[in-house]
Amino acid sequence: MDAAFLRKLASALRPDALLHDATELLTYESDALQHLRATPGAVVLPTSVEEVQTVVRLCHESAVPFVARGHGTGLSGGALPRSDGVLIVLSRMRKILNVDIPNLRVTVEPGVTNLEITTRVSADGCYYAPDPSSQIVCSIGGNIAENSGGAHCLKYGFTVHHVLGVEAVLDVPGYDLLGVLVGSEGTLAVVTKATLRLLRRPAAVLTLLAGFNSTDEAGEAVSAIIAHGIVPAAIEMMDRLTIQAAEAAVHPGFPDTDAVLIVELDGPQAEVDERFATVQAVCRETGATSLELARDAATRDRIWKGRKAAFAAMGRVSPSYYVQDGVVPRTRLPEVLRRIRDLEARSGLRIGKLRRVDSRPGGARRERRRRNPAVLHRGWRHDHRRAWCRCRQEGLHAQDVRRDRSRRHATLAVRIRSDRHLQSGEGLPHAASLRRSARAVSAAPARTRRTGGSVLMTVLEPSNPHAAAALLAEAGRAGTSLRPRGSGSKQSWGDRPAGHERYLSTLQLSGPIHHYAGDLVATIPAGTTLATANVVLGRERQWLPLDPPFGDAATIGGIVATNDSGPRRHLHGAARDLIVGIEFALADGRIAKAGGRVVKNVAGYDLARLLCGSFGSLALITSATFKLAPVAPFSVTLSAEPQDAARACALALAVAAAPLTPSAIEVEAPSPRLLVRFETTEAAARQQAESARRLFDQAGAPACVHLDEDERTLWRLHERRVQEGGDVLFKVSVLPTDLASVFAQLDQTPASVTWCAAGRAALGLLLVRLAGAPEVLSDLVLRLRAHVASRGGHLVVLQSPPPVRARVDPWGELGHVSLMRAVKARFDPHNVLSPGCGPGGI
Amino acid sequence: MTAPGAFAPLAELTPLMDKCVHCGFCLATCPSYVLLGQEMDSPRGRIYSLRAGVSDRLQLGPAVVQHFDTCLGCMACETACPSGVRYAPLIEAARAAIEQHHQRPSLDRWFRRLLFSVLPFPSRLRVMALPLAVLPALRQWRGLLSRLPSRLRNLIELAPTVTIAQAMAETPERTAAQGSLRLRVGLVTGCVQRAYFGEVNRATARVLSAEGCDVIAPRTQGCCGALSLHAGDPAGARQFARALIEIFERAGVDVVAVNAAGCGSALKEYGHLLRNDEQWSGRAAAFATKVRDVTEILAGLEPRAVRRSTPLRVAYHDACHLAHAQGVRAEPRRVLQSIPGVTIVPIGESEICCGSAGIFNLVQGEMAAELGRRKASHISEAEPDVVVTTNPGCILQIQAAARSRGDRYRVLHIVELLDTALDGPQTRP
Repeated sequence: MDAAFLRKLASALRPDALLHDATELLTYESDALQHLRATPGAVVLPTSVEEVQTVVRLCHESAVPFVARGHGTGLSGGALPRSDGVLIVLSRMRKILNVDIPNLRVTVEPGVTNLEITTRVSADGCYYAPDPSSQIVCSIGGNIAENSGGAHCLKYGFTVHHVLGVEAVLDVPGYDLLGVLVGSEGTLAVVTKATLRLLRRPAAVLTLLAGFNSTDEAGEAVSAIIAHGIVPAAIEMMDRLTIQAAEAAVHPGFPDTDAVLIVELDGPQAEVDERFATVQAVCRETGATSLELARDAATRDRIWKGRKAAFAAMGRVSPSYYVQDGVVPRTRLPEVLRRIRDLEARSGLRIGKLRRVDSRPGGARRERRRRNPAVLHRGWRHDHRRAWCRCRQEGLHAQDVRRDRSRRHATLAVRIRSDRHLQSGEGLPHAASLRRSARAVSAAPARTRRTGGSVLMTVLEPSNPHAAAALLAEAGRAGTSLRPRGSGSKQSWGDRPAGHERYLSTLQLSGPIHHYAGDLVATIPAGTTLATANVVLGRERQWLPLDPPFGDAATIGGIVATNDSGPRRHLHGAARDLIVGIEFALADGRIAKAGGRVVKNVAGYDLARLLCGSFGSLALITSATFKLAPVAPFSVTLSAEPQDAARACALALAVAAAPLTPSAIEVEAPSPRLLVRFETTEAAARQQAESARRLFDQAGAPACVHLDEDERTLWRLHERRVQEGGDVLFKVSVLPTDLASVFAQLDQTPASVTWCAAGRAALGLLLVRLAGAPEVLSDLVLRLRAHVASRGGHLVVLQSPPPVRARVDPWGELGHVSLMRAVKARFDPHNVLSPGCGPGGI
Repeated sequence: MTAPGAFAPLAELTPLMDKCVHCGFCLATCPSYVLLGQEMDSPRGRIYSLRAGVSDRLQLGPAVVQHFDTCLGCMACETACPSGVRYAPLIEAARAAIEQHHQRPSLDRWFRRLLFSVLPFPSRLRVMALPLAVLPALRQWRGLLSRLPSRLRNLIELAPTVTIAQAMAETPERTAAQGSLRLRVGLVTGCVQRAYFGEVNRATARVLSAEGCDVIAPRTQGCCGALSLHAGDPAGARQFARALIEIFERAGVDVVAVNAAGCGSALKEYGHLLRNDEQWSGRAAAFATKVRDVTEILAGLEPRAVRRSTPLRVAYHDACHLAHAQGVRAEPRRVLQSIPGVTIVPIGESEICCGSAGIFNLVQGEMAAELGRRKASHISEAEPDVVVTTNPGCILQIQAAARSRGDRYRVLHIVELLDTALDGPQTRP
């Protein structure tokens, strides 16, 4: 380490914030992945954001690489230091800054441990959902860097689904930079503060421990459970070696069998009971040798303690080991397990397997031997080989196979990095893979069509992704631009500079839908409409749980590009929460892919999320892969008409705070109405509707119950309310508790303006439609935007007539436009794609 | 001041170190890591340093020593470790190596020597009772206190409040069982316990006798060696151990009862301490198997003596050397539950040390005080009437922390509470 640089660091920091004594640096050589180690040049232990900034600035000025570290529990070497760099250790930044129970969010510093959050909010009946095995000690900063999952990620998702902001607090319009940051392994930024989503504890939780004679049988049980349309909160499989290790460590009382399956169901009591009966029957049919049911918290804790200790307990089995953390599609699991058994037999290594059967680690495998370099190398080689031959495996941690993992979108990894100071060496693509993916794409013939009336409008309709890519490249060479277009249902959204009328249509990109029912995922071409897709998926009683406006006409590509969603976002999330993989055509004529068919993308930047809501300004989406949901067997909706919008909002929050699982909570105004929908098994839906009805009664707003055709009509009309008629359409995003204040503002509109609003009451999202004179409307929107901004929210105008657009910027102040411009410049340097139409007018 | 190869003799403990898979689960409950937030001050970091020391990648020097000194020896890491790493023998061996090869600054040495020449000897401690009698008055005099050197101030803040008569009182050498005899119990009276917490020893004898035990408390017994052992003086500890074993062998008892958690954990490890002593290894191992914490004995005996209803909110503080080092958690709670009217209120962060840790609060005052404050604030949240625990060090530490917060609950040894619920003297609440 350069002495002058060290002096600079020392003078800028408090004395106890800098470590440079060799004996102290030694202990920071590795995280929990022990066989990769390097002594850091210096260690910095900041206690404030300012200190982090100081260090990062100094490093940047002197071109010294730096790596961030939390509590050093990662198994993928994410905190592996550089001997010529600085290790920024955030273990001292562990304050919980703000807990906001009504809005279900908490703001913390990066060194706060995962479990601390749940401990802090459990008295309020809440918890933080991601629960990696090391949750007692792993830091939130590390969770964000690695996009940690945990046992319950099948139902509740990963860290990325629970991080609301890193400095910003709300649903921020624009490129999903946050989505890219999560899981970037510290290569893009050092997180100094994070706002996380909390969940309400479910009404009932049931955990089942089933013993099986083989992992194959346990695997069959898993497939059968999914096939019954059940998505458990967690399903985990352990094999004999890991069972033994866990037994030795914490005595969880696992049965003495070759495989155990832990299945956890949660939700409303009736639903859990009904589904539990099915799960139990399935396990019996598939040959379960023992079934133990944990209804109380103590037994459940014991089982999970056993599971979570399994990794760390490996020290009891063997002092030397090698960890692999991979993700495989659920349906390919038996095949993968067979291959691992072959390898085990051939190599003479003992392999312990832990499987999160749902989604993420398809196999966290350990190979263990004495600490003997030669043997270890044997392990390395064969892992490497396996990584080569199994292209299905989406991601493998560890240095020696890392090259492989970034190959899929290697060039992009480079494209959006401005500099190499951050976490240098991590996530860097292999030169060979760069060359491979940079090969030229043969330009397919493109069909073009001219349509239009008074304004000439060119619509290019390529029939395959390669042709689309070639058209983009050609436009780049010719210096023209193209605007992606699906069915045109949302063509008027966003900004539309005059004279820009060359479209690239995705309608012909509508090949077959690849539905992997057993994995609960489907790959859908961009030109397919949502309605068509759901007809196909419905054959297996599954669906893509999105219900944006114009669902009949809207295409998958358009929905992803606008990150659009509907009422059921309350339960299922928006497109960004469901997308797991994407294929897209780049402006330079190449086709690229990101993510895959498995729910967790452990292989680099999450480009699928970046393209969600990019309004076609970064790339042309050619197909997307989504996580699906089983079709609920029963649906019921309650409606009520409280006296005013404020009361409707309060009632909505009360319903959201109750231990219920509605799929939608919608509020309407000016004639105030609240809609609450339950979709689950019939018994559970009726039971929940009854509980909700009592809440309505207490609030003095008697509820009407809607079923079947009546219910469908109700929702159709609700959707149309805001989408049809009027001049200006805009979207408001605020904290749920601030929604009532937005309605109060709307109530003050002049009589000459008619307005209508509807939205997700418990998420703080509102769509508003206004009609009236342009000058009045402009003033109104600007005033409302100021109000919303003062509450930390956003207002984005989707549609407006030219006179309004002249005065009101559709996006408003986004705050991170310069970063977005940099991203845009890397993806589309010649500004071919939708110039001016992207977020912030990019 | 650096000593090459100082850790080399620890090579025999390599198998113990190799069990550590570096997972970091120990960090969350390690008090020194929780406070200081750096790897060197965590069990994982210390084991890593030791490993490096054994392979000669690390030289012993003040920078290394300071991070071993921050270890409280609370063994919370052993409880947290899924791989079953035994940290106690490692830290003891490391401390022995440090004391042997590392020369501390003279003031440090002088202070430690003073502590070790007083603490393990009840007779000398009794002499100290004279100045202690004026302590309550001294503590009021904040101006003077703040001007004293920090070490002396710690001593004054922490020292027990005892009258000379209390300090001089002895536990009867024999207390006969009431009713039919169930067990013959030898009582380890300890050193600090004997001099300043004599009442706890007498209560222990009364309670055990009420439950049908003959209690023998030999007058001639001395220190158990725990303080020396935990501070890196195994030779001194062995000397104390041999003497104690001999005394209790002569007493001919079924079990040996300990009412100080710190002593108990050392006594149970006598087999390991004297493993290389041919003459004594067998005797030590046999003795160790007889050692029980007093709560283990009481929980094992079906309650016979009638307990009066004692309507109190009781917070049970897990002494580290009982909960982590000996794995005894359920027994004390069962003893409390046997008293009608008692409501046990849980304390937050119960697995983290109160900061007492043997002589830790005397030599690392600042850290200990911070841990004490943390503990006291968690106790306050539980709003107890009484806090009970099983170790004299914890009682002093929590009393001091509660005093500085102005909290009014009493801190007692668990047998004192039981004693009042039985037909003991009615002087206690």
